[in-house]
Amino acid sequence: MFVNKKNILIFSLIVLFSSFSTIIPAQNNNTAEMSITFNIPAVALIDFVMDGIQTITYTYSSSNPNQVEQIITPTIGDKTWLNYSSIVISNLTNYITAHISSGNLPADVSLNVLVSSDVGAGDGITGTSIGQITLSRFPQNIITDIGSCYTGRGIHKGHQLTYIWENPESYNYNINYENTNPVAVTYTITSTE
Amino acid sequence: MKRTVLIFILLVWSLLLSTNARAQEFVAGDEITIVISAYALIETNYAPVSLSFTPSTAGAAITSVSNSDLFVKISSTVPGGTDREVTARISSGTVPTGTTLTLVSAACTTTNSGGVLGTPVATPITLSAIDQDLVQFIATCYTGTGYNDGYQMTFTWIPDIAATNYGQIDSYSYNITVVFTLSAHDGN
Repeated sequence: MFVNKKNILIFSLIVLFSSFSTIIPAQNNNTAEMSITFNIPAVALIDFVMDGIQTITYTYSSSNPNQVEQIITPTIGDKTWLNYSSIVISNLTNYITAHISSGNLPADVSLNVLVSSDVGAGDGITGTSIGQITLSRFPQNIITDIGSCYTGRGIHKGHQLTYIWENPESYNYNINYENTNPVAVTYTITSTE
Repeated sequence: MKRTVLIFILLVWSLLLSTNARAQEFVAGDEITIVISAYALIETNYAPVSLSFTPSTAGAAITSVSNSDLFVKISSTVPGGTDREVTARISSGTVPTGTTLTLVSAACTTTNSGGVLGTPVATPITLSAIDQDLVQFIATCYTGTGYNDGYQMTFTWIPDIAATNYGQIDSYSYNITVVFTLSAHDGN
């Protein structure tokens, strides 16, 4: 019994000391913690910049029954630049497709677009151009493997787009064709997610 | 007769006792020691700091984002001729790859403060795992305890060297912990 009392005393002393040692660092409150949250949302922005007005007119003249003439004005349209900004989730990429979204091409005539490489006015992982494609109503890839990057904004930045008309050898000039509607080409940037 | 002697002795004794008591009173009021311990207390206003890149223009780079919601409050006493610093470091997590987080302190607000509040370091520090000075030459002072009292901290988050690192930026949410320290006075 006496031994137990002694033990209790020792135990109480230990508790007392340990509570002292807890209090001492708490009083030394010379640091303060805080948390910061960063958020990097995925980004896919695309836009055109045009150097003047991009109008390519395709006509033909058959006033003389023995002679027809194609008139393409200008011969190529290369005044458009494609600018984009992209932030991707790790291991994903963005890509850009092109398709004819409204209007009709003259019969037997096709419209190609040549997509240049990025001219390097921006930073990061800009995309890889597929080169030249024949535009259709179905979206086709023109620039792939776009990582986190920006091309810069304005002409001579990003990828230059060059439109080229193509007439097959078999073009039948006897088809009467009238179309004054413009043809719209839509470019879309999408994630591989 | 014996009884009279006893009474006399008791009287003398009690007289002696009362004299002793007076003498003790005299000694008791003699020395007063006032101790001012050096102390250093620091606290923030717990403002949540959330930073988000929000680019809006095709072709443009993400631009810097700033947040100045956080105030750091301190109370400090120092031994004469010594001073302290407020320092900051990242204690857990890392700033997202391809980006840099800088921090700069404004001078202490004047509304509820007093004393020698120190001088903020003018050039923003790039936060890292190592403590760097934000405010120097702090002596005995207090900043006030209100939500907008103390040293206003401005965090700025920017893409770092874009030419090499922009492509490393990953879309994600990240968390880090920053620790502010009111250092021991330099007399230690």
